[in-house]
Amino acid sequence: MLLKRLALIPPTLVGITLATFLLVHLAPGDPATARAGNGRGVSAESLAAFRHAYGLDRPLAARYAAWLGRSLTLDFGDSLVDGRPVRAKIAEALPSTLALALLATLFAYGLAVPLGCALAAGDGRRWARAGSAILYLGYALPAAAAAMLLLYAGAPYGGRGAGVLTAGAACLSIAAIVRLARYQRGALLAALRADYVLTARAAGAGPARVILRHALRNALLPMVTLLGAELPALLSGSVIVEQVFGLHGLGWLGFEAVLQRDYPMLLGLATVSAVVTLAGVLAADAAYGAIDPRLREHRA
Amino acid sequence: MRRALVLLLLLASCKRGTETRAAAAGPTIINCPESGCAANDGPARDGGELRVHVEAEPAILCDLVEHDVWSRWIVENQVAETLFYQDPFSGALAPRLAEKFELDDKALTLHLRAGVRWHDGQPFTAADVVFTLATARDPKVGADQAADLAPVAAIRAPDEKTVVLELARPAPFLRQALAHISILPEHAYRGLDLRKAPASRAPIGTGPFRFAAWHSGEELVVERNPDYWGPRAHLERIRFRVVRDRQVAYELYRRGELDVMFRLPAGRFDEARTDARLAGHRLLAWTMRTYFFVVWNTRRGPLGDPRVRRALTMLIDRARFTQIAFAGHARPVTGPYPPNTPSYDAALHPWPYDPDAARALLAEAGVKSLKLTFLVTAGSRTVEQLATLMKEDLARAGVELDVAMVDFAVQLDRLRHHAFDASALQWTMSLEQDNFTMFHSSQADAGQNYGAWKNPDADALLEKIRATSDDDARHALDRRFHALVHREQPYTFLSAPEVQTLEAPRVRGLRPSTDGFNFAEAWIAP
Repeated sequence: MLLKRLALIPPTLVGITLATFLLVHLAPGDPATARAGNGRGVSAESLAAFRHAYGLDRPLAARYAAWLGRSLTLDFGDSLVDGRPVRAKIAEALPSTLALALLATLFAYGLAVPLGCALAAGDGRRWARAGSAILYLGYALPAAAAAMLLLYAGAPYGGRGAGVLTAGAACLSIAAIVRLARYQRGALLAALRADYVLTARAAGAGPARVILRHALRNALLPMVTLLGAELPALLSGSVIVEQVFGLHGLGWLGFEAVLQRDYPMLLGLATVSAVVTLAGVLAADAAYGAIDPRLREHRA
Repeated sequence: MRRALVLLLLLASCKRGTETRAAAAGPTIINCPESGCAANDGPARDGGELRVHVEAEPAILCDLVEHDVWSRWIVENQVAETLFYQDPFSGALAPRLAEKFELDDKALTLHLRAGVRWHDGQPFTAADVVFTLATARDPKVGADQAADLAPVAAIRAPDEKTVVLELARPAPFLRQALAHISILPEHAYRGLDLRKAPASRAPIGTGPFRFAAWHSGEELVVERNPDYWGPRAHLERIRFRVVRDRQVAYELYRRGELDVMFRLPAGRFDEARTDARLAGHRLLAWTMRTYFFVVWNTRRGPLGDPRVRRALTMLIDRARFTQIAFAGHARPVTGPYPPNTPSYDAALHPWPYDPDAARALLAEAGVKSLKLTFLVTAGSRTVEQLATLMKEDLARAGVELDVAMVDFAVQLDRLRHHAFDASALQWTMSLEQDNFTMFHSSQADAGQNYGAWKNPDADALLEKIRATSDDDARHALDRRFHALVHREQPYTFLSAPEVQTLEAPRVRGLRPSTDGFNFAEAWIAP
């Protein structure tokens, strides 16, 4: 199964980059005029010179083929905005984004799993219902507002210190915590109704042992699948969180590239995000096998 | 979602509001005179670091290829130097890299300063000046300053310290233009693409500050040049911190993480003036040489008729726009020259807000129904407020306004191809403003005459202005052009917003202006 997935990666990547390539070129607006701005020196010659220097005057198919060839050697070309290699710009911004995403995932799972378990264990009780309501309120809190509130409360700004990354990751993880906690609660409740749990109870296992030893292991399964879905969203970065905390990450890089019609930058970012996302999905698949023996047997 | 955000932010600001009521002192508010202002008390002293807010990260630190206000701020006359220095308020031109000059209608001869060295130790020579000006004139480069060098027929360097600019026609704006072209080191650029040369990322200049570091997305640092040819700067180091969101920057300023904030976020003035955390700070209120306007595409049916454009102006409640968008902190403008200069005809008054007269004018022009597309930049709050107000105002006379919000790249494309009916923009002016590229009919296809306005009187005046060396005579022509534009209304002129600059208590000698700051004048008090 894993091998089959691996074989699917190259065509998936080509598909993603081709779609991105077509999308950015079909969007209205032209990078040469966007770069030139409304300055007075903009002439037909200067626009043509810019287009020629970056190969924007060549046919689309030739440009995509050239891009694909170069990107195989991890050369994504130069940014149209500042002329620097796209690879260098991504490498600069990737550490912040990776750190934020991993930290946010850690927060999300670290809090959501016990929270979901507690809510399932206390199902129907008043405190559990209140807890659920509070979770919904948290879900309604936009990341921008949470970020500004943290900043007003004295959260640090800028750099790559633990403090600013923690604050940023906390904001990023709020929505994921709520989503995951609800899934965890639902999955555990379903597991607690299963026959084997009844058997375990009949065999004299206490409530804690039933949940931790028997039900939770099965209820964790869908959570791992969700990792594959949560991770890409976190890895594409967050414009707002990056902006409020002064983190130089992929979110802002992508946002600016769209505004400036920076084609090579957009393609580079799409490729890197696609690779990281596929890696995340693969990792989730592998973990799935490790947790669920039935899948392991199936694969062998 | 958006409403929740607003509510939470309100709660956050209420909390601060009570703090300020407990201790009533806010910043010292200074309304700057037209000559600008700065706190200059106490003797100037050397040393210290200044942390300055910049709202965007410059793309490239070379002003010939990047018309970026922030890169100019950081480079022009701090790291790099120009041939002349223009006082941003009086407009007076002082020698800089050009020590002396001779000017007549045939040539400008520049005698360059001796003993000047680039930050990398190489000597500064006439070859650098010739290289820079030739590059600026190259149509392939597309430099903003190329238009200013149009009267120059040839550039030559008879010796190491002399440059002669031969003129094809009188060039009244030439010395001012040379005050805004940073001279580039030829040795660092020869044979390289200006966009990709290392010196466009780590600029080499002759100025009072040397480029030190650039951490992408975070900050740019310059430090004092100990070998400067002139009086050395006082500041040891300047950190330009990139904070893209003004609300965030304001919070950082309040916390003491920034010393200078060029512009307070819109709508925070009343809150700032009573903010106890800003006690001892200075809030300098002054007006930039910019104006907001609506440009009408004169090629679109009835918009070609000046009566229709005047009627549209009279339908728009411009005073209300100023109130809504700038809380009244803006001054009305009637024409394309900086107010309080001899070019601006102060006797002209804005067309009144008069829907009845406007309806009569429209009827006279034979306009029964009008539907217009209003092209605006998405994400600009000021422009969104303008669009809402204009839609309401114009509807009163049966003019339907269809608002098209696009990002700036698309807006520029459509402006250049005249694919719009009306659009809103903002221009920043020079002290001696040449309006040729915005209003001459020859500039409809390649210049900034986005409205494709074509008026023979305007063309003749603009040509004459460019060819008149005598200041008084030229200013008289400027005023005539101002009156013509006022009558014809190719633009509806809105207003020039006030800027509120915040400075920490220990900052001295810093004068905010349309051109940014001159950091060489600044120091830090003990």
